[in-house]
Amino acid sequence: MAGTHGNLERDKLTQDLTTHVAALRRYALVLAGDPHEADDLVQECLSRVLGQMRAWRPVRDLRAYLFATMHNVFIDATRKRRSRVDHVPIEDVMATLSLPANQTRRLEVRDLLQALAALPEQQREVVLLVGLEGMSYLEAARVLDVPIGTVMSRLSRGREALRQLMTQGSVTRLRVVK
Amino acid sequence: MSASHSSSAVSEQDLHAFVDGELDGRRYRRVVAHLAVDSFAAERVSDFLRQQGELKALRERLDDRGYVPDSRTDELIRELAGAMRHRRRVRMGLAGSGLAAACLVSLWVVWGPPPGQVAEHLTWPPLVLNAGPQVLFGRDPFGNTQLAASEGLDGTGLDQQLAAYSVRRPDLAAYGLHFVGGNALQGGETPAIRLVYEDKDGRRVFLFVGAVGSDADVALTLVPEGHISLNWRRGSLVFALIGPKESQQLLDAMRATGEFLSPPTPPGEGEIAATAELSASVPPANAVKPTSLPSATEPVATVGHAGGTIGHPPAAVPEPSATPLPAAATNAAENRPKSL
Repeated sequence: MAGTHGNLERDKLTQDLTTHVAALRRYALVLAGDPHEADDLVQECLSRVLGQMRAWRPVRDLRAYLFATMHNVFIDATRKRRSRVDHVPIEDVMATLSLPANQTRRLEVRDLLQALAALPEQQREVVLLVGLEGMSYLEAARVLDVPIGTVMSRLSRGREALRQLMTQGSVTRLRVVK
Repeated sequence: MSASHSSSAVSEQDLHAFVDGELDGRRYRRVVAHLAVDSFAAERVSDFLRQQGELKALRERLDDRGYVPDSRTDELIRELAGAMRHRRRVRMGLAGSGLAAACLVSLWVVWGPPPGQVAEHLTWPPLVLNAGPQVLFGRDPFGNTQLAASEGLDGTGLDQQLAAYSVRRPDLAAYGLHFVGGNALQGGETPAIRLVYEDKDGRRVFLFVGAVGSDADVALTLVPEGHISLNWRRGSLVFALIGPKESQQLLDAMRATGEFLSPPTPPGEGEIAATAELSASVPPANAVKPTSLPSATEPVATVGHAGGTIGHPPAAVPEPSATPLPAAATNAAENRPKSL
């Protein structure tokens, strides 16, 4: 009886975690623009959280904790990547999507991904956390460990840049490297 | 309300908060009023809302494919689930323990004894425990437990060590102390005999007799608060006379006690009112014979030997510890079998 209850509890936890990890991987995919790098980021993030769990670090909101760790992992990865050639493998991301047959819609998705990739990382993070993951300003501020006013200002600038990129044809000038 | 007034009241961040549903009712209405008069702002908000729609559509397309974690990620997820489950169980255990402790404290507060009564219980243990008296005397060597004038003394250990000794109850009436009762204290391997006297004011004097070589040496020094203890040894016996500090009779009583160290003699008739025999380990035929008191008119509690006749123990050397032994007692100890 206790064993069955324990198994159910473990299965439920695994299921919840898988849902969170799916969101984490989605966020990492758009953030990094590379499916392989997204997988690496997710694994590094989970390894860190596992270490912190074993060290009895207090965790109140697991979802926010996972995204906050992902933010730190992404910053570390970005610092290492600075020496490398900057490229945005949008087509790799496109390959992971279930795109509509409509060619126009397909181009719209591609333009959006290109515009997101063109944003500064700090603005991109906020736009994705709020727009893609549906977080509130407060949640995003906790994940990024910044004041809520910083989230609002970054979001404002990021969205405005995105709007201009999408509406003024700047997207076509983005360098797309595959 | 003019357009310029509305514009000054609505910031850029308000527009984004409007898109994300982060505004309260008052600010929301203000932004709506502003958008009604500011077409440029309305157009931008429209673009932002379209952006949001596109991001949601992107999310749906990413989710449509479903996410199947690779083997490494799957392994990490399972490890993390195990760690979380462990943490949750430990926390529940701690919470349960805390709740149980809180319940116990609550029950104690509601139904437990009054604080004064608790304090009484708490003040006794240091007095009793520190000297280790329970080994010899049980819970309260100075109480009325099993106190009876004619109670049997089942003192096996004492009997074996005092095979040739008789211990008789001294008569301390001449010092204003009348006999209340006595018993054997069986708290440890070596028993002790306790005799209790009272003066006219009801203050009690205790006389303990135990065997040397046991913990009686230490335990007999235990005294209640406000009391004093006189300790001495006689051969293989240790004595303690315990009474109120202000008592002037203790030393005299001690001397009188020494006078009762005499060769055992057959009991006289009418002298057996308070006799206790060591019958548990002694066959009836060899039962202890109550002995008479050479200097007392009242019978005593006795500790005899297994042989039926009183033997002659080795000559005992007086070994006073705190108080010099009275001369009469010393002579009696040197020349005769010990009796009290």
